[in-house]
Amino acid sequence: MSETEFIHLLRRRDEQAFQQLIVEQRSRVFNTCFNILQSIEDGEDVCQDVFIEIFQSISKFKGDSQLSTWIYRIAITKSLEFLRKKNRKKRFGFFQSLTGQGDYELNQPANFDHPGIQLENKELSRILFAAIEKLPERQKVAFLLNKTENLSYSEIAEVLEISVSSVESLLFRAKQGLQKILNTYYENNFK
Amino acid sequence: MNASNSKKEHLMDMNKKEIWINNTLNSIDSIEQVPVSDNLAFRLDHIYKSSQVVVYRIQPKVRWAIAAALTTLFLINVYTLSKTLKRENSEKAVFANEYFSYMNSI
Repeated sequence: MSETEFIHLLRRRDEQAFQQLIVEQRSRVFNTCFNILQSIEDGEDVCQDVFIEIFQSISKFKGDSQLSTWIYRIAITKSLEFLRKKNRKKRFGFFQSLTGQGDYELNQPANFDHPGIQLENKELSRILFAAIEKLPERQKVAFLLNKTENLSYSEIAEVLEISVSSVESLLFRAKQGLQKILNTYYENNFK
Repeated sequence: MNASNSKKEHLMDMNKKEIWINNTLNSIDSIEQVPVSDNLAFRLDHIYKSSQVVVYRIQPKVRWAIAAALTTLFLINVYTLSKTLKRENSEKAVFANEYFSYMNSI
């Protein structure tokens, strides 16, 4: 079955097609949400929201991109919306970012233990995930899509609806930012 | 001698730091996908049934009855309003007539 036919079935609210979509995409959607949110519970909640959104707005899907790209976009948008809501509560962090203090500070690595990381990398990845948290939204998403989802630059460009050169720039700035954060962390903790 | 030693130490420190930063940046390179839990799979499987929109079809007879009732209500309102306006106008005319005839008699 071609993708167009599959989308046609989804638009007609065919139960089998929808169940097939869930089975094929649930792992990718969940992992995308989970890596952005750094919490299994939040990742599961947002993953469910993503599929509800897909179900409700499949008729609006114009087919100008691949179905998986469209699903990635929904997953990223929903995850970022969730993060924004969560971060609104952290007023202290907001004031810190206003004053520009603590931009490269990483006092304590988050207690995030990713189950998909090899044992020997657990400690370092914990520090890296805490540093990723500090990045601006788009840099964070581009970096995670590249590193955890293994998406190519052109695939990331399609998901984020930007040019490949913008993706290169985002990833370059993300790596630079991470290096600065890790540098400060090293200076504070290992010297 | 001391200066060259401290320079060497500094270079070694820099090297150590850069290696640590690189290792940290590469620590998620071989990350594996986390399997979906049974709980989430169960929740996702039930989205279709819970998202089904229930459409209540209204029979054409009932639809016509509602339309007729609304039209009748509208017409009654228009009729009453026009009647009230007419009565008010005639009352005003009578009052004006009486007033001017009184003024003329004076």
